[in-house]
Amino acid sequence: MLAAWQDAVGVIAELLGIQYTTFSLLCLTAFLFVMIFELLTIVSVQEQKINTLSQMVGLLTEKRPEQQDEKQPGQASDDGRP
Amino acid sequence: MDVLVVDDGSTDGTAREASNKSRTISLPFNVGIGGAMQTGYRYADLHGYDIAIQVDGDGQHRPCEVKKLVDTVLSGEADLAVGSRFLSNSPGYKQNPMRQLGAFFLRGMLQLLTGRRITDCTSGFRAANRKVIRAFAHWYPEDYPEPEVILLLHRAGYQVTEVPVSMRQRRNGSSSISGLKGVFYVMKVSLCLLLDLARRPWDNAKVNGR
Repeated sequence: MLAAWQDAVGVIAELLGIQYTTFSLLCLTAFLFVMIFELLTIVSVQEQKINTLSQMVGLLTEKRPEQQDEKQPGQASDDGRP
Repeated sequence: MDVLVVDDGSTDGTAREASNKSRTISLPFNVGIGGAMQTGYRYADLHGYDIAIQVDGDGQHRPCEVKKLVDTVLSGEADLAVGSRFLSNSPGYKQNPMRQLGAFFLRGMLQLLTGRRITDCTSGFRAANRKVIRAFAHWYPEDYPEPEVILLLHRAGYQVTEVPVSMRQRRNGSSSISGLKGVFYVMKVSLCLLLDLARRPWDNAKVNGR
């Protein structure tokens, strides 16, 4: 964005009332870092939840040998496989 | 003794083969070693098992050595017994120099952080008692968890002991941490171990009072 609109730093500095334009660049960088950190935290929490859910699915669909024996030959299994 | 196979989203028909002979949990997709291990411990917690034995699926660990681990846990000597290939002679087992170097580094790091000498911190051959089963069901590291678990248990006041066991070369498959990945593994685990120092130790009362 800054490459396409080279005066952006100056405009942002003026909007925020910052005297030195380079300082606004630092503020922008810090903001982006915080935003990335926040997004990473959200992704990490969501990943943890997905893993827990998949573990629960696994635990609920546990297969035992006796269940296999009960099935008739050629009968499809729970997961749709023959 | 009940055998549970945790199939971590494999696509080679492992689940179908395993379910003919043992209890099998098929995870809908690959969640990684930490998630798969925790599934096993959650199962053990859910069904009230007193001891859970963790064995890798590549044929390295000998079933005849399980008794040694179980006896150590049953005697109350340890909450978690880790099978160490370096405390005994494993004639059929050889590590390449890179792995040896990585293991040496992690061993030194764990010794520095725990004050205890753990010779085989990456061993996946372990037996855990009820207390540890509950702790693992509550929380388990995601990536490359073996060394991290030792530090976390030590910090939470659990007893971890090594038991000499003999191991074989893996029978099939290849290691996921060979070559450059091995270097990344050591760096990542080291960083995790350092970050764990900043983490509050497991709350035993909370874990066991669930």
